[in-house]
Amino acid sequence: MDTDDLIQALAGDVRRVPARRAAMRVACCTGMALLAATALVWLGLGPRADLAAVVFDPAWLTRMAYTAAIAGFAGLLLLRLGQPGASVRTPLWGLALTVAVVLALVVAEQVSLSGSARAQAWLGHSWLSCSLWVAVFGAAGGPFLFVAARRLAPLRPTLAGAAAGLVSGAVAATAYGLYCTEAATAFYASWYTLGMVIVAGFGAIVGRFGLRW
Amino acid sequence: MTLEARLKPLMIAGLDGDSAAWRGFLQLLRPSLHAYFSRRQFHGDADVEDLVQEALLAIHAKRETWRRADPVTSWCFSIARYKLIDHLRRSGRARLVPLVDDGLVAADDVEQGGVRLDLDRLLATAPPRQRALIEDVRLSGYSLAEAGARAGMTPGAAKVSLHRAMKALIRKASDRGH
Repeated sequence: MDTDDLIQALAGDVRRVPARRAAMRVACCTGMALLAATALVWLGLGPRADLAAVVFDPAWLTRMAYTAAIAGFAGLLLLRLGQPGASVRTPLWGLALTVAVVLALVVAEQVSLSGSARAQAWLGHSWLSCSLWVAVFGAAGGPFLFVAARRLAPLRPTLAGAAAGLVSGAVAATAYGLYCTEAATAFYASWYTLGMVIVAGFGAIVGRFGLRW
Repeated sequence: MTLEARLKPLMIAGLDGDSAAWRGFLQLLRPSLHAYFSRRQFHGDADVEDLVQEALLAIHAKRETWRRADPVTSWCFSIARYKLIDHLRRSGRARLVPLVDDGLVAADDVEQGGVRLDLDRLLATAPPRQRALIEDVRLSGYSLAEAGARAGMTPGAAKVSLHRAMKALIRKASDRGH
Protein backbone atom coordinates (compact mmCIF):
# COMPACT_ATOMS: atom_id res chain seq x y z
CA MET A 1 0.00 0.00 0.00
CA ASP A 2 1.21 3.45 -0.84
CA THR A 3 1.97 5.65 2.16
CA ASP A 4 -0.20 8.47 0.82
CA ASP A 5 -3.14 6.09 0.57
CA LEU A 6 -2.45 4.87 4.09
CA ILE A 7 -2.49 8.41 5.48
CA GLN A 8 -5.70 9.09 3.56
CA ALA A 9 -7.29 5.97 5.01
CA LEU A 10 -6.17 6.75 8.56
CA ALA A 11 -7.43 10.34 8.31
CA GLY A 12 -10.79 8.98 7.23
CA ASP A 13 -10.97 6.89 10.40
CA VAL A 14 -10.83 9.76 12.90
CA ARG A 15 -13.26 9.94 15.78
CA ARG A 16 -13.08 12.24 18.76
CA VAL A 17 -10.81 10.94 21.52
CA PRO A 18 -11.63 12.31 25.00
CA ALA A 19 -8.62 13.78 26.75
CA ARG A 20 -8.35 11.19 29.50
CA ARG A 21 -9.69 8.14 27.77
CA ALA A 22 -6.68 5.91 28.58
CA ALA A 23 -6.82 6.88 32.26
CA MET A 24 -10.57 6.35 32.35
CA ARG A 25 -10.22 2.90 30.84
CA VAL A 26 -7.59 1.81 33.36
CA ALA A 27 -9.77 3.15 36.19
CA CYS A 28 -12.89 1.42 34.88
CA CYS A 29 -11.16 -1.90 34.37
CA THR A 30 -9.65 -1.66 37.86
CA GLY A 31 -13.14 -1.04 39.21
CA MET A 32 -14.48 -4.07 37.39
CA ALA A 33 -11.63 -6.22 38.69
CA LEU A 34 -12.50 -5.01 42.22
CA LEU A 35 -16.16 -5.91 41.69
CA ALA A 36 -15.26 -9.36 40.38
CA ALA A 37 -12.87 -10.08 43.25
CA THR A 38 -15.34 -8.76 45.85
CA ALA A 39 -18.15 -10.88 44.43
CA LEU A 40 -15.96 -13.98 44.52
CA VAL A 41 -14.78 -13.32 48.10
CA TRP A 42 -18.33 -12.60 49.22
CA LEU A 43 -19.83 -15.68 47.58
CA GLY A 44 -16.88 -18.02 47.99
CA LEU A 45 -15.66 -17.24 51.51
CA GLY A 46 -18.26 -14.87 52.91
CA PRO A 47 -17.53 -11.61 54.75
CA ARG A 48 -16.18 -11.81 58.27
CA ALA A 49 -19.00 -11.93 60.82
CA ASP A 50 -18.04 -8.68 62.54
CA LEU A 51 -17.54 -6.69 59.34
CA ALA A 52 -20.08 -4.02 60.32
CA ALA A 53 -18.26 -3.40 63.60
CA VAL A 54 -14.74 -3.55 62.24
CA VAL A 55 -15.09 -0.89 59.55
CA PHE A 56 -14.17 1.77 62.12
CA ASP A 57 -11.22 -0.19 63.49
CA PRO A 58 -8.00 1.67 62.62
CA ALA A 59 -6.02 -1.56 62.20
CA TRP A 60 -8.50 -2.89 59.65
CA LEU A 61 -8.73 0.45 57.89
CA THR A 62 -4.93 0.67 57.68
CA ARG A 63 -4.82 -2.75 56.05
CA MET A 64 -7.48 -1.77 53.53
CA ALA A 65 -5.68 1.52 52.88
CA TYR A 66 -2.42 -0.36 52.25
CA THR A 67 -3.85 -2.63 49.55
CA ALA A 68 -5.95 0.16 48.06
CA ALA A 69 -2.90 2.45 47.86
CA ILE A 70 -0.89 -0.28 46.14
CA ALA A 71 -3.75 -0.80 43.68
CA GLY A 72 -3.95 2.93 42.97
CA PHE A 73 -0.25 3.52 42.46
CA ALA A 74 0.15 0.32 40.45
CA GLY A 75 -2.75 1.45 38.27
CA LEU A 76 -1.04 4.79 37.69
CA LEU A 77 2.20 2.94 36.95
CA LEU A 78 0.42 0.77 34.38
CA LEU A 79 -1.08 3.87 32.77
CA ARG A 80 2.23 5.72 32.59
CA LEU A 81 4.09 2.67 31.29
CA GLY A 82 1.47 2.51 28.56
CA GLN A 83 1.92 6.15 27.53
CA PRO A 84 5.17 6.48 25.55
CA GLY A 85 7.27 9.34 26.87
CA ALA A 86 5.38 9.67 30.16
CA SER A 87 7.30 9.71 33.43
CA VAL A 88 6.81 6.83 35.88
CA ARG A 89 8.41 8.67 38.77
CA THR A 90 5.21 9.55 40.63
CA PRO A 91 3.73 6.03 40.78
CA LEU A 92 7.09 4.48 41.66
CA TRP A 93 7.58 6.93 44.52
CA GLY A 94 4.00 6.27 45.60
CA LEU A 95 4.58 2.52 45.74
CA ALA A 96 7.89 2.97 47.57
CA LEU A 97 6.34 5.33 50.10
CA THR A 98 3.40 2.99 50.74
CA VAL A 99 5.73 0.07 51.38
CA ALA A 100 7.97 2.24 53.58
CA VAL A 101 5.02 3.32 55.75
CA VAL A 102 3.86 -0.27 56.22
CA LEU A 103 7.40 -1.42 57.01
CA ALA A 104 7.62 1.30 59.67
CA LEU A 105 4.32 0.09 61.14
CA VAL A 106 5.63 -3.47 61.20
CA VAL A 107 8.77 -2.43 63.03
CA ALA A 108 6.74 -0.43 65.55
CA GLU A 109 4.45 -3.39 66.11
CA GLN A 110 7.27 -5.93 66.48
CA VAL A 111 9.08 -3.70 68.95
CA SER A 112 5.94 -3.44 71.08
CA LEU A 113 5.52 -7.23 71.21
CA SER A 114 7.39 -9.84 73.26
CA GLY A 115 9.22 -12.83 71.77
CA SER A 116 6.54 -15.43 71.14
CA ALA A 117 3.89 -12.85 70.28
CA ARG A 118 6.09 -11.60 67.46
CA ALA A 119 6.03 -14.85 65.55
CA GLN A 120 2.33 -15.20 66.36
CA ALA A 121 1.64 -11.76 64.85
CA TRP A 122 3.62 -12.65 61.78
CA LEU A 123 2.07 -16.07 61.09
CA GLY A 124 -1.44 -15.50 62.47
CA HIS A 125 -3.72 -18.47 61.92
CA SER A 126 -4.08 -18.32 58.14
CA TRP A 127 -0.67 -17.53 56.71
CA LEU A 128 -0.69 -20.69 54.61
CA SER A 129 -3.91 -19.90 52.81
CA CYS A 130 -3.80 -16.08 52.70
CA SER A 131 -1.34 -15.53 49.83
CA LEU A 132 -2.96 -18.33 47.89
CA TRP A 133 -6.42 -16.78 48.14
CA VAL A 134 -5.10 -13.38 47.13
CA ALA A 135 -3.42 -14.95 44.11
CA VAL A 136 -6.57 -16.87 43.15
CA PHE A 137 -8.85 -13.84 43.40
CA GLY A 138 -6.22 -11.79 41.65
CA ALA A 139 -6.44 -14.13 38.68
CA ALA A 140 -10.16 -13.33 38.49
CA GLY A 141 -9.54 -9.62 37.95
CA GLY A 142 -6.56 -10.17 35.65
CA PRO A 143 -8.48 -10.28 32.36
CA PHE A 144 -9.99 -6.82 33.01
CA LEU A 145 -6.57 -5.29 33.53
CA PHE A 146 -5.23 -7.13 30.50
CA VAL A 147 -7.96 -5.60 28.35
CA ALA A 148 -7.05 -2.14 29.64
CA ALA A 149 -3.33 -2.74 29.08
CA ARG A 150 -3.85 -4.03 25.55
CA ARG A 151 -5.24 -0.66 24.51
CA LEU A 152 -2.19 1.17 25.87
CA ALA A 153 1.19 1.36 24.15
CA PRO A 154 3.68 -0.13 26.64
CA LEU A 155 7.28 0.16 25.46
CA ARG A 156 8.19 -2.43 28.09
CA PRO A 157 5.51 -5.12 27.86
CA THR A 158 6.94 -7.28 30.66
CA LEU A 159 7.00 -4.41 33.13
CA ALA A 160 3.52 -3.26 32.09
CA GLY A 161 2.27 -6.82 32.60
CA ALA A 162 3.77 -6.85 36.09
CA ALA A 163 2.06 -3.54 36.89
CA ALA A 164 -1.27 -4.86 35.60
CA GLY A 165 -0.80 -8.00 37.73
CA LEU A 166 0.03 -5.88 40.76
CA VAL A 167 -3.19 -3.90 40.30
CA SER A 168 -5.16 -7.11 40.03
CA GLY A 169 -3.43 -8.62 43.06
CA ALA A 170 -3.88 -5.49 45.18
CA VAL A 171 -7.55 -5.25 44.25
CA ALA A 172 -7.98 -8.92 45.18
CA ALA A 173 -6.16 -8.34 48.48
CA THR A 174 -8.51 -5.46 49.24
CA ALA A 175 -11.52 -7.68 48.57
CA TYR A 176 -9.97 -10.49 50.63
CA GLY A 177 -9.72 -8.01 53.51
CA LEU A 178 -13.51 -8.22 53.84
CA TYR A 179 -13.15 -11.86 54.85
CA CYS A 180 -9.81 -12.00 56.62
CA THR A 181 -9.78 -11.65 60.41
CA GLU A 182 -6.04 -11.23 60.89
CA ALA A 183 -5.28 -7.98 62.68
CA ALA A 184 -1.46 -7.82 62.82
CA THR A 185 0.46 -5.50 60.52
CA ALA A 186 3.29 -8.01 60.15
CA PHE A 187 0.77 -10.52 58.85
CA TYR A 188 -0.60 -8.52 55.96
CA ALA A 189 2.73 -6.87 55.22
CA SER A 190 4.06 -10.36 54.52
CA TRP A 191 1.28 -12.54 53.18
CA TYR A 192 -0.93 -10.02 51.41
CA THR A 193 2.19 -8.65 49.78
CA LEU A 194 3.35 -12.12 48.78
CA GLY A 195 -0.03 -12.79 47.17
CA MET A 196 0.13 -9.52 45.24
CA VAL A 197 3.68 -10.23 44.11
CA ILE A 198 2.64 -13.67 42.84
CA VAL A 199 -0.06 -12.10 40.68
CA ALA A 200 2.41 -9.43 39.51
CA GLY A 201 4.88 -12.15 38.49
CA PHE A 202 2.19 -13.95 36.59
CA GLY A 203 1.25 -10.66 34.94
CA ALA A 204 4.86 -10.12 33.89
CA ILE A 205 4.87 -13.44 32.05
CA VAL A 206 1.54 -12.72 30.37
CA GLY A 207 2.71 -9.20 29.50
CA ARG A 208 5.95 -10.36 27.98
CA PHE A 209 4.09 -12.27 25.31
CA GLY A 210 0.63 -10.75 25.37
CA LEU A 211 1.26 -7.02 25.55
CA ARG A 212 3.40 -6.58 22.45
CA TRP A 213 1.84 -4.38 19.84
CA MET B 1 8.85 26.88 13.91
CA THR B 2 9.92 23.61 15.48
CA LEU B 3 8.37 20.31 14.51
CA GLU B 4 6.89 20.08 17.99
CA ALA B 5 5.18 23.48 17.69
CA ARG B 6 3.71 22.53 14.32
CA LEU B 7 2.64 19.02 15.33
CA LYS B 8 1.00 19.80 18.64
CA PRO B 9 -2.01 21.85 17.43
CA LEU B 10 -2.63 19.32 14.63
CA MET B 11 -2.48 16.46 17.15
CA ILE B 12 -4.95 18.15 19.47
CA ALA B 13 -7.32 18.98 16.60
CA GLY B 14 -6.98 15.41 15.34
CA LEU B 15 -7.87 14.03 18.76
CA ASP B 16 -10.93 16.27 18.72
CA GLY B 17 -12.04 14.53 15.54
CA ASP B 18 -10.72 16.90 12.86
CA SER B 19 -9.91 14.61 9.94
CA ALA B 20 -8.05 17.25 7.89
CA ALA B 21 -5.84 18.15 10.86
CA TRP B 22 -5.05 14.50 11.44
CA ARG B 23 -4.10 14.05 7.79
CA GLY B 24 -1.87 17.11 8.10
CA PHE B 25 -0.33 15.67 11.25
CA LEU B 26 0.52 12.35 9.60
CA GLN B 27 1.83 14.04 6.46
CA LEU B 28 4.00 16.37 8.49
CA LEU B 29 5.33 13.46 10.51
CA ARG B 30 6.04 11.27 7.52
CA PRO B 31 9.33 12.81 6.31
CA SER B 32 10.66 12.96 9.88
CA LEU B 33 9.87 9.29 10.36
CA HIS B 34 11.46 8.55 7.02
CA ALA B 35 14.61 10.37 8.06
CA TYR B 36 14.56 8.65 11.45
CA PHE B 37 14.40 5.17 9.94
CA SER B 38 16.78 5.99 7.09
CA ARG B 39 19.48 6.95 9.54
CA ARG B 40 19.07 3.57 11.18
CA GLN B 41 18.21 1.36 8.23
CA PHE B 42 20.34 -1.03 6.27
CA HIS B 43 18.05 -3.01 4.01
CA GLY B 44 17.16 -0.48 1.39
CA ASP B 45 14.34 1.94 0.86
CA ALA B 46 11.47 -0.54 0.75
CA ASP B 47 12.12 -1.43 4.38
CA VAL B 48 12.22 2.19 5.44
CA GLU B 49 8.86 2.84 3.84
CA ASP B 50 7.45 -0.29 5.53
CA LEU B 51 8.67 1.01 8.87
CA VAL B 52 7.21 4.46 8.22
CA GLN B 53 3.85 2.86 7.50
CA GLU B 54 4.03 0.65 10.58
CA ALA B 55 4.87 3.65 12.73
CA LEU B 56 2.07 5.74 11.21
CA LEU B 57 -0.40 2.93 11.85
CA ALA B 58 0.73 2.55 15.45
CA ILE B 59 0.65 6.32 16.03
CA HIS B 60 -2.89 6.36 14.70
CA ALA B 61 -4.07 3.32 16.66
CA LYS B 62 -2.43 4.42 19.92
CA ARG B 63 -3.18 8.14 19.71
CA GLU B 64 -5.17 8.07 22.94
CA THR B 65 -1.97 7.18 24.83
CA TRP B 66 -0.49 10.63 24.24
CA ARG B 67 -0.61 12.73 27.40
CA ARG B 68 -1.29 16.37 26.68
CA ALA B 69 1.40 17.30 29.21
CA ASP B 70 4.09 15.47 27.20
CA PRO B 71 5.82 16.59 23.97
CA VAL B 72 4.18 15.09 20.86
CA THR B 73 7.52 14.47 19.18
CA SER B 74 8.93 12.40 22.04
CA TRP B 75 5.72 10.37 22.05
CA CYS B 76 5.90 9.81 18.28
CA PHE B 77 9.54 8.84 18.22
CA SER B 78 9.20 6.58 21.24
CA ILE B 79 6.67 4.67 19.16
CA ALA B 80 8.93 4.79 16.09
CA ARG B 81 11.80 3.44 18.16
CA TYR B 82 9.63 0.63 19.54
CA LYS B 83 8.59 -0.31 15.99
CA LEU B 84 12.20 -0.22 14.82
CA ILE B 85 13.36 -2.53 17.60
CA ASP B 86 10.42 -4.83 16.93
CA HIS B 87 11.34 -4.87 13.25
CA LEU B 88 14.99 -5.65 13.96
CA ARG B 89 14.06 -8.43 16.33
CA ARG B 90 11.78 -10.03 13.79
CA SER B 91 13.83 -9.65 10.63
CA GLY B 92 17.34 -8.56 11.55
CA ARG B 93 18.92 -11.88 12.28
CA ALA B 94 17.66 -13.70 9.21
CA ARG B 95 18.83 -10.94 6.90
CA LEU B 96 22.21 -10.39 8.47
CA VAL B 97 23.68 -13.81 7.88
CA PRO B 98 24.05 -14.16 4.10
CA LEU B 99 25.63 -10.78 3.47
CA VAL B 100 29.14 -12.13 3.21
CA ASP B 101 29.78 -14.93 0.82
CA ASP B 102 31.48 -17.64 2.83
CA GLY B 103 33.82 -18.25 -0.10
CA LEU B 104 35.44 -14.88 0.50
CA VAL B 105 36.81 -15.95 3.86
CA ALA B 106 37.12 -19.72 3.53
CA ALA B 107 38.89 -19.63 0.21
CA ASP B 108 40.72 -22.64 -1.17
CA ASP B 109 44.36 -23.18 -0.40
CA VAL B 110 46.00 -21.61 -3.44
CA GLU B 111 44.09 -18.35 -3.25
CA GLN B 112 43.86 -18.10 0.49
CA GLY B 113 46.84 -15.83 0.95
CA GLY B 114 45.67 -13.42 -1.73
CA VAL B 115 42.13 -13.28 -0.42
CA ARG B 116 43.32 -12.71 3.11
CA LEU B 117 45.54 -9.89 1.89
CA ASP B 118 42.69 -8.26 -0.02
CA LEU B 119 40.47 -8.62 2.98
CA ASP B 120 43.01 -7.02 5.28
CA ARG B 121 43.48 -4.13 2.90
CA LEU B 122 39.73 -3.66 2.70
CA LEU B 123 39.26 -3.90 6.44
CA ALA B 124 41.97 -1.30 7.00
CA THR B 125 39.66 1.25 5.38
CA ALA B 126 36.89 0.67 7.93
CA PRO B 127 36.61 2.75 11.12
CA PRO B 128 38.38 0.98 14.04
CA ARG B 129 35.26 0.06 16.03
CA GLN B 130 33.45 -1.33 13.02
CA ARG B 131 36.59 -3.12 11.97
CA ALA B 132 36.89 -4.80 15.35
CA LEU B 133 33.27 -5.89 15.11
CA ILE B 134 33.73 -7.41 11.67
CA GLU B 135 36.86 -9.25 12.68
CA ASP B 136 35.26 -10.59 15.82
CA VAL B 137 31.96 -11.70 14.33
CA ARG B 138 32.77 -12.59 10.76
CA LEU B 139 36.32 -13.88 11.08
CA SER B 140 36.83 -14.97 14.68
CA GLY B 141 33.42 -16.44 15.30
CA TYR B 142 32.25 -14.41 18.30
CA SER B 143 28.52 -13.98 18.73
CA LEU B 144 27.05 -10.53 18.15
CA ALA B 145 26.46 -10.08 21.87
CA GLU B 146 30.05 -11.03 22.74
CA ALA B 147 31.55 -8.85 20.07
CA GLY B 148 29.26 -6.01 21.12
CA ALA B 149 30.42 -6.37 24.71
CA ARG B 150 34.07 -6.30 23.58
CA ALA B 151 33.38 -3.11 21.63
CA GLY B 152 31.32 -1.64 24.47
CA MET B 153 27.99 -1.75 22.63
CA THR B 154 24.63 -3.38 23.27
CA PRO B 155 23.86 -6.40 21.03
CA GLY B 156 21.34 -4.25 19.15
CA ALA B 157 23.85 -1.49 18.49
CA ALA B 158 26.45 -4.04 17.51
CA LYS B 159 24.05 -5.57 15.02
CA VAL B 160 23.28 -2.23 13.44
CA SER B 161 26.91 -1.17 13.36
CA LEU B 162 28.09 -4.45 11.91
CA HIS B 163 25.46 -4.39 9.24
CA ARG B 164 26.42 -0.88 8.20
CA ALA B 165 30.08 -1.76 8.15
CA MET B 166 29.45 -4.82 6.00
CA LYS B 167 27.40 -2.81 3.58
CA ALA B 168 30.11 -0.19 3.27
CA LEU B 169 32.77 -2.85 2.77
CA ILE B 170 30.80 -4.63 0.09
CA ARG B 171 30.33 -1.34 -1.72
CA LYS B 172 34.04 -0.62 -1.54
CA ALA B 173 34.89 -4.13 -2.66
CA SER B 174 32.65 -3.90 -5.69
CA ASP B 175 34.04 -0.44 -6.53
CA ARG B 176 37.53 -1.88 -6.63
CA GLY B 177 36.44 -4.68 -8.89
CA HIS B 178 35.50 -2.21 -11.62
